[in-house]
Amino acid sequence: MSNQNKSQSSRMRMLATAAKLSSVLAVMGVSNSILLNEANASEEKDEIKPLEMKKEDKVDEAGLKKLLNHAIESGDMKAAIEKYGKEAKLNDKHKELLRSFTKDELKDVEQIRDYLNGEKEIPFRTRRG
Amino acid sequence: MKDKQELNLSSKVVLVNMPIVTSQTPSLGLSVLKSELDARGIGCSVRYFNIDYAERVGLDILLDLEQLPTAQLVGDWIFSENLWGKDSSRDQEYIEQVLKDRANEHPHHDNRCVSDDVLSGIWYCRSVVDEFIDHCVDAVDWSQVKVVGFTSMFQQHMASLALARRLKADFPHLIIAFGGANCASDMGRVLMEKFDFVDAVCLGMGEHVFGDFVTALLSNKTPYNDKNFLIRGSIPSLPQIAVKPENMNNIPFPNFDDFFEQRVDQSSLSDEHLSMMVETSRGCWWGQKHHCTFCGLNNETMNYRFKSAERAMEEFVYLTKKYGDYTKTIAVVDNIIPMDYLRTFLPKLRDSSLSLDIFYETKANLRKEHLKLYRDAGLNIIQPGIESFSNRLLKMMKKGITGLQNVQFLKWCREFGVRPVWNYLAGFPGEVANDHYQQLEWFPLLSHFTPPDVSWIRIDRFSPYHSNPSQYGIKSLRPFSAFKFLYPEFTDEERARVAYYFIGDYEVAHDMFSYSEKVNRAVHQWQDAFEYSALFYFDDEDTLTIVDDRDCAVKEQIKLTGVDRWLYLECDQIRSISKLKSKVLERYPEAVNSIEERLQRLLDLKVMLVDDDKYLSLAVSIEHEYFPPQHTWDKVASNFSPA
Repeated sequence: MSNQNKSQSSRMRMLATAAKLSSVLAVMGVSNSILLNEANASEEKDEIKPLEMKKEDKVDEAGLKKLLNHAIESGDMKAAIEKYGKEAKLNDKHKELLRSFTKDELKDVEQIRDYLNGEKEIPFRTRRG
Repeated sequence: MKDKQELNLSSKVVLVNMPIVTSQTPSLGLSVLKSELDARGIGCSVRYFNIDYAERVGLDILLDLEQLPTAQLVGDWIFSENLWGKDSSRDQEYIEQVLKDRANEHPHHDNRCVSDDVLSGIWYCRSVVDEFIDHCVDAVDWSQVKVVGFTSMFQQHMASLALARRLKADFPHLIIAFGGANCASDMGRVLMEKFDFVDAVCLGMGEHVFGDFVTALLSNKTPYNDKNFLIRGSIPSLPQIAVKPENMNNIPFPNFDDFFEQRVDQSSLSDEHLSMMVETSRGCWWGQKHHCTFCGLNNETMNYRFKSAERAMEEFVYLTKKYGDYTKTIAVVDNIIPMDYLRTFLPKLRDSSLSLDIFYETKANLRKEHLKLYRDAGLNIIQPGIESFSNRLLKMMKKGITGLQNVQFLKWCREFGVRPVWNYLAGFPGEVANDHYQQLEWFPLLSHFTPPDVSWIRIDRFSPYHSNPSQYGIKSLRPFSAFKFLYPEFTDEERARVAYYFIGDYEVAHDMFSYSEKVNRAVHQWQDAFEYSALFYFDDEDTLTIVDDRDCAVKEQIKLTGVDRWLYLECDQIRSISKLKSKVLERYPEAVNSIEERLQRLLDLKVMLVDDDKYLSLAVSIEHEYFPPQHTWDKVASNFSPA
């Protein structure tokens, strides 16, 4: 496989993971902006509305954020669910969906999180700008 | 008074950085002078009074001031009263004519009329000036100092003059010297003529000549009378011709110790987003051949010269090692990156472990591999001279590039995660509405690329518009009206010599006001749409899938196979129709007669642009750094089979 194809293929896998993450989060009633760090989240970059749902199906966003970050850092979704599942108010269906994320996919989610948070600010005024 | 103790007691020279200028970066000029004097064994301190001022008024209001049109010179006006004395009617006139734009010199600038909030901030900034100048006088034991050097760029002139006047009055033994961009050429001469408390003015690059000057003074010798350096009492009668090209490898590394000490170690201001300044070249290699008509960055300094790659690398390594704990951002102040660096310096940077965020100004006619090199070397923010997509306007500007090349550049920037900072320029002598309307048609198709700010051209000193106005049909060249309030005691002729920003009368399209509104609106729409727009593709060698999530999208997903896929990939780089036909003959001879029709389909789908029979694909590959906005993720879900 050529380098270009390898790179394309890994990016496609990442895009697939992003698509999967987006649909799983929508089921939980939260948007992708849960991956933003505090500084970026406060700018309300994401205006996407999650799916309409019953109140009891909605998870606790702060708890889910901790869970996802723990899963990303540890590469172990099961342990993350064990640790934060209750705080995130996950039901069985949510747990099942989250458990389907493999270690490789969690690595992709980490990169995706970095992309979302990575927009560089311009720390100076350019001479002609 | 605490600063008196902080100042190096052996400092015979104090270099001063006055407001209003950013406190996020050190002064490169003063930091180089400090090194030059250090090397000569002369004690020198750089005093960043702009930091003290920012502590008084706060960073927020200073950021507001940065958004105002530069030629309003509000930063200078804030300090002008201290220099010239109180005059309420003059103040009122400045506010009415300049800040409220009654002079109508910024007719298309979004922020030309200041809001009441910003205006009250400006008044606050002004209200602390007298006390602030007292503080500057009090903060240093000037009786121990021999030479005070002021750097003056942009809106530092009035504050610098105000403090210089006061220091000379209180400490007549001080030798007061000025340098920096505000002193270049005739601007420096008039400074010397009109302000008798100024003893010396450097008209151009000062590192060596200032060192010679100070060395002579401290050894009680008569300073050498360099043609680049005016000294009171020995000014030659002929106009000075400034600057001889220097060997840039001989310029010392800047010393930023004083900046980081005052800005981080001693200041309560936030230490986020600080950066270092570095210079790797002077002049402009493009301007030497074709001076862009609006560019006033170079006077006699156009002659291009640059540091060797080895020397530049040494400097970057040195600065990162010394100051990397404060910041890993380096803003390079060059007018334009040396082309040699694409094969010399940048590969070294890429292969180093410095991990810097670097800013450079660049020309936009680069190849794709150059953008990749930029990204790999850490050039994450760049300022390309894009200016326009109109071939006619670009030709009038002498930019040496086409509109489609500019689009290609923006696409590759997006692909490699390099952020371009660029302006869309309008208001040129000789432009017509249609020059803009044609470009505005492209804007919705480009909404996934980094948008510009819109900027209406100004006539700057040293630009061809200024030096040869009649060639461009410009009449009655005169300084912006702000200068009248900054230099109330000057004659018109003297103001024309001290000014950098000018206006002139020239023929403009009769409907300029109507199209300027459309241009401003279109740029704002692009800025808004950029956050959520996406147009990208992925390719599995049989099928190329284009995902279109722009407001102008005709289809959300387009799948291309065979000749169409090949055509789209081929037009990643600008291709002429004749080139495409000759290439398709080799691969798909049966398709040669259908090429135009296939290209037209892609044009109809708005995923390709054509200009002058040249074609360019607009979708960004996800092969490199690009990753689509979250808005788009679920729209691609159908292409995959998630678990």
